[in-house]
Amino acid sequence: MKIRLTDAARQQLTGFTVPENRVLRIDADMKGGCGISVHLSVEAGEPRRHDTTLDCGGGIVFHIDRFTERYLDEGAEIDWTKENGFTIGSSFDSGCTV
Amino acid sequence: MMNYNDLIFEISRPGRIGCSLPESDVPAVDVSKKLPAHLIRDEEPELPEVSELQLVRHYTALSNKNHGVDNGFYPLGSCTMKYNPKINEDVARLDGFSRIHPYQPASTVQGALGLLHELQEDLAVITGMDAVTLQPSAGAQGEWTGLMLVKAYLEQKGEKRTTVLVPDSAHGTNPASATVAGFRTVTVPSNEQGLVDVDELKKHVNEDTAALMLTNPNTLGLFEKDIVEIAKVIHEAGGLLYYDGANANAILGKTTPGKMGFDIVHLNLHKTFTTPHGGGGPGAGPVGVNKKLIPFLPVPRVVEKNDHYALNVDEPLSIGRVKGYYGNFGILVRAYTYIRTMGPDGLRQVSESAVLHANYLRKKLEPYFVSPYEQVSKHEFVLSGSKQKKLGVRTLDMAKRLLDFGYHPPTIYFPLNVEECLMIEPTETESKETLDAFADVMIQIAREVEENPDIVLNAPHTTVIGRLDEVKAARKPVVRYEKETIQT
Ligand SMILES: Cc1ncc(COP(=O)(O)O)c(C=O)c1O
Repeated sequence: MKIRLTDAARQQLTGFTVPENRVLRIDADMKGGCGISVHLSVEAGEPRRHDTTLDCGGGIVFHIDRFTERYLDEGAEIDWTKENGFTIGSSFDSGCTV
Repeated sequence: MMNYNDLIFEISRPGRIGCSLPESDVPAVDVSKKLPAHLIRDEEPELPEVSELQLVRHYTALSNKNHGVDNGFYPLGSCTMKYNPKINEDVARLDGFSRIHPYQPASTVQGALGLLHELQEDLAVITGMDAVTLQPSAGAQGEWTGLMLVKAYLEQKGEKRTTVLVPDSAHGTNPASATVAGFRTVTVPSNEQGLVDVDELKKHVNEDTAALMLTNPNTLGLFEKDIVEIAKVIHEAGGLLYYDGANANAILGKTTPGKMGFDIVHLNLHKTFTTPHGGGGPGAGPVGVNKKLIPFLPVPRVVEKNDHYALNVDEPLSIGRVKGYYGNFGILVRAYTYIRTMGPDGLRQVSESAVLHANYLRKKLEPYFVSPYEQVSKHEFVLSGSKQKKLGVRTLDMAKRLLDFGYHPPTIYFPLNVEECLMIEPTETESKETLDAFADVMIQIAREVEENPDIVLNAPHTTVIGRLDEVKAARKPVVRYEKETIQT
C-alpha cells in the first residue's frame, strides 16, 4: 500500500516524538446511529496485534490495523493544516438506520 | 437449475406471462387523445416477464433470505425487536377494521373510532399524560410533532426561545427533529456514569431554552436517576421536557414520564407495543401531552360526546394535521390488541422481564468484553469492543461474525460516547435458552478474536453474500437497476 504525505504533513511528523509504548497510527473509527460514518485520523496510539507498518521515509512509520486497511484508499493523501490538524482523504458517510 | 440469486429482470424471457386477464368489458380508449403527448411513452416499459411459478419462487426465495424476529434472535439495541403476536394480525384483518373507508360517516364506524378513543386513553394512562394524538407515523415524526407543539405553546405565550438541549447519548433523530422544527440544538455531555451531568446541564440552560429532549432509560440502558432535579432545572428556566419513548419497554407499568416531570412524550408502537417495524413505515409514534399543551395537538382527534365518538376538527390553536387521515390505522389496531391482550399486570411483567433478560445477558458477557458502566441496566445494555480492538479486531468484525450463527447483530457504534460500542436489547419475549445460546456464541467470538482472529476478520462465511465492500458501496453506489450496469 502507498499513501502520499503533503509537505505540511511531513514537516509536522518529522519533528514529532512518539511517546513511549505508543506508535504513530492511521486509524479508522466508525460512528453509528442513523447511518455509519468512517473517520480516518492520525494519532499516537498503542500497538495492536497484526498491525502492518508503512514506512514513509525520514523516520515516519505508520502502524495500520487490518480494519483500517479496508477503508484506506491506495494513494490516499495525508495533509496537515493549522485549523484541522491532520486530514486523510478517505473518510465517508453511508446511510442505514438504527 | 434456476439460480434464485438472479434478479427478477434476469429471469425474464420475452413473451412469458404469469397472469391471464378477462376480456375488457368497457370500451377501449385511445390514450393519445386523452393525455398530453409529452406524458405518453414511446417505448414499451421493460417489465419483467415471468410465469406465476417463477414469480412465487423468486419472492419466496427472497423472503427466506430475510431475517426477522419470526426466524431468529434480533437483539438490535434501541429497536425493541420483540415478537409480534399473531392475534394482532387476526384482529387487524377483521372486516370492521380492514374494509372501512376514512371518509365514511362517523356514525357508520363507531367501533373503529371507539378503538382509537380507547387507545388514546390507554396510552395517556401508560405515559401519565392528559391527552394523546395517534397521528404521527414514527418516533421521529412524533418528535417533530412534539417540538412543533413546544413552538406553538411558546408562541402563544409570546416567548421566543430557540434552543433545544440534547444529551450526547441521544438518538440522531432528536437533534434532526429539533432542527427541522426550526430550533438550534445544543449537545449536553454525559458524565462518567453515562448519565446527564446536572451541573453541566445547568451551564447550558437559560432564557433561550425551549426544551430538553431526554430518553429515560437513556440509550445506554441506564435510568436517569436525577430526572426529578433535571425536570426542575428545565421548568424553572421556563422550558419544556420532551420524553423520547423509544425505551418505554423498560418502564411499562412501573413509572410514567408524567411522574418524572415530562410535558410531552412519544411512544414507538412498533417497538414497545408489538406492531411491525417496516423499513421506514408503517409505524406509529403517538404523542401524549399534559394539560397546558392539549389545545395545540394536531386535529382531528377522536372525542366522545353523548356516548358517541366523533372527530374534533375545530381547535383554533391546533398545529393542524401531521398525517393523512387519523394515523396508521391498521398499526393502531394491532397496538390496541396487544394492550388488551396483556392488561396492566401483563405490561408490568413485560418491563420486568425485559430488564431481567438484559441484566442476565450482561452478567454473562461482562467477563469477556469491556462493560463501561456500573449502574444496573434497564431493558438494554452496552458493551465496548475496546479490548478486542487492541487485538486488531473491531466491533464491526464481531457483528459480521454473528451472522454466521444466524443472529441479527446488536446495534453497533451507537451511542457515540462508547468506544466500539455494542448495544444489546434482548427483549422479554426471548427464552432463557435463546439468551444462553447467544451468550455462548458471543463468548466463542471473543475467544476467536484471541486465538483465530482471521475467522472473525473475514466473516461472514455462511451467508449468501460474504463481506461487503462498504467503501465501494458508499463511494460508488448503484441504486438503480440497469441491465448494462449489472452485467458488467
Ligand atoms: C432512542 C430513539 N429515539 C428515536 C428513534 C426514532 O424512532 P423511529 O425509528 O420510530 O422514527 C429511535 C429509533 O430507533 C430510537 O432508538
